[in-house]
Amino acid sequence: MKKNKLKIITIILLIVLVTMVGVIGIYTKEKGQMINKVKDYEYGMNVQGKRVATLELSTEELEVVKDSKGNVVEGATDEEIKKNGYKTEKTPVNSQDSLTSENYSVTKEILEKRLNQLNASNYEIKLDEKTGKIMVELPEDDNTDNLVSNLTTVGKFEIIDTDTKEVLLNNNDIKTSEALRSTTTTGTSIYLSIEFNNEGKKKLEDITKKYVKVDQETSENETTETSESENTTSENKTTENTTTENTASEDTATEENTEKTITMKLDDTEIMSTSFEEPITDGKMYLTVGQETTNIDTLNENLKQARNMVAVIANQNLPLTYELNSNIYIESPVKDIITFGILIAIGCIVAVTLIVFLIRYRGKGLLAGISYIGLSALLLLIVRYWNVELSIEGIVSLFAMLILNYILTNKILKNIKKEKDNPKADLKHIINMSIKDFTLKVIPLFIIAIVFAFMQWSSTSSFGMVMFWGLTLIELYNLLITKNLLKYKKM
Amino acid sequence: MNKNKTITIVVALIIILGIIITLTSGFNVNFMTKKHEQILLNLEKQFNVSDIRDITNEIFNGQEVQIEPVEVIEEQVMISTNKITDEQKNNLVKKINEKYGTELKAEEVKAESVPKTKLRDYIIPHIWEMIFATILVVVYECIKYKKLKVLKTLVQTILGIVIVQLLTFSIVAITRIPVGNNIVSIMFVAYIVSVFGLTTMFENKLQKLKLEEGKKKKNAIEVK
Repeated sequence: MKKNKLKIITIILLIVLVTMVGVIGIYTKEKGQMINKVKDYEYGMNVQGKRVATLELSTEELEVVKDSKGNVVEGATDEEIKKNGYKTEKTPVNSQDSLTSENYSVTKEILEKRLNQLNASNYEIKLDEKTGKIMVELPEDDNTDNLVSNLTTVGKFEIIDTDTKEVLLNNNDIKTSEALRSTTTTGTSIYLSIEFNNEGKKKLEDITKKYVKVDQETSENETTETSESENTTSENKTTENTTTENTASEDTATEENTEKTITMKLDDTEIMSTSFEEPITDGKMYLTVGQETTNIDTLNENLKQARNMVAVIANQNLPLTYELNSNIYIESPVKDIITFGILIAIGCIVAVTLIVFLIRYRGKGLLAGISYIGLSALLLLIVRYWNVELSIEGIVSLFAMLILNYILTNKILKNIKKEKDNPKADLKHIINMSIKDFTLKVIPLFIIAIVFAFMQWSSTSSFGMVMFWGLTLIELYNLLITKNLLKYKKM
Repeated sequence: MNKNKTITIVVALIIILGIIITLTSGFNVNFMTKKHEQILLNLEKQFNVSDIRDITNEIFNGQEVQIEPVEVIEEQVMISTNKITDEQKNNLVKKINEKYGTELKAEEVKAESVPKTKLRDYIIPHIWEMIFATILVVVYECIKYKKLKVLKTLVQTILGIVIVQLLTFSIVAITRIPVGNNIVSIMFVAYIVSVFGLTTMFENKLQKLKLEEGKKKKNAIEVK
């Protein structure tokens, strides 16, 4: 009997300890200040704060040079304009006809696709359908600046004839694009793969036949690069293996009189000029991004660059040109009070539970209530140490888990009470059966928790993670702590 | 009328009423989700949100107002409300100048319009996640409770989840609970409640069935 009492007291002391650590924390004096050594909560965008990027329609005007017939003349110098009597006209980048609510909505959809492709963990896009103004809210993390930089890129991808400026291929010819990596003993290369649709495939084949390298004898430098590519990439990749800017410029220098080259442009900015060694018949083009490297930072930077291009190229180009009007970080008004708020709310739930259990089940109710407090504190600690990002959804999930634990504890107490008058009743068995019964009912919730935990959207993963750890804790804690607390107490 | 019929009728009525209210007046969307206006003020020093709140209470009497510190150094404040008139803006700037000794000029401070967020923009990304999880749950339920007839379990699970979602949205519409980005949490809670409820129902039915089968076996042995 005395041994049992000692066990109960030990468990209660353990619960008190966990509760104090979980709720109050562990404070040490550092540089004259009391610092809580217990890890802080990590909050999500809707609790912590967000980056708000405001995009306004560009009012910029472009100068266009036209000849006497009204045809646009590209790259004309001042002298040529004077000499040939060309006219310079100013045209807005966003024509009046393009300013429609349909185009605004398309822009919003494309931005959503880009953000998804760039693995934005959460975002909110607000569109004013009358003015076209767009506000994008993003979580503040290492990726935010990169995401913001991709919002205003129009994404106009073109392959043009370097000399005549004729557009040979554009966004409409692209089927899909992806960033690939290829590792060898000498390092890792990042490739931007562009797959063209049927029409684009045909065009690409024609282009690669027409814009073919005249001189097959390449410089020493180029040969090395070619052999590296052959080692590292698939057959497809080696077919187009001279597309780095360096080699392209060398080519133009040595063969400018004989070779026709193409120029790739993104948003009218030249990416590279090149020609092809042999025709590409499978409709896939591979472009090296950066150089082969073993440095992880350089590699990540190359990969980021490739992914940015994928996000822009793989989707349509924006029908309108936007400018980044403002880009500010706004703190959530609840940020400072949320931790306190969670503790108060949990405190209320725990207090109500304790009172209900005490009234309905007396002594056992009190012990179950104490056990309940311990679980709540432990869950708060797990959430912190498992780096679970608490969004509003995660916090709601936290409360849902406390309610589920109430259901289980109440069931255990109810079953014990039912067998009160049965002298043969085995308390341990009753508790085990109650937990087993509960487990069978929450298996689908475990499935949901696991699925949600792996989702890209941070609010969903927050909900799933809290639910997963909550359910796991409910099972283990009640099996180890609640059962041991209750089984020694007489019915 | 038995209990089940009464529940069915009540649920159906709530859903119908919810649909009517949603179609006629929509949800009670909170002001930060609707189109609203905001003012960014540079105070050039740290401030207490409660002090700003006192000023806004005076100026935007009765209007819902949200005050958010801007940037990490928190020397700027974003004040958002349904509508900001020129008079309110002038008074706000005047009071802020008085309180913080700033020299803000009303004509330089712009009330910026913030577009609305459609509720469906919050919901749609999560629908796919829920569909994916539901497929796995349905597969589990159909295997685990195959004794209760697979097709019946399948239909009941899907219908149960859909009805609970409809019921929840109807209650939200009828009770005029303000919704915004909290709609996702509401949806998730309704989802896990429905799945837990359905599993409990199936589990109880299965236990009952097993008990009946046990009884039958026992009777058969006794007859033998």
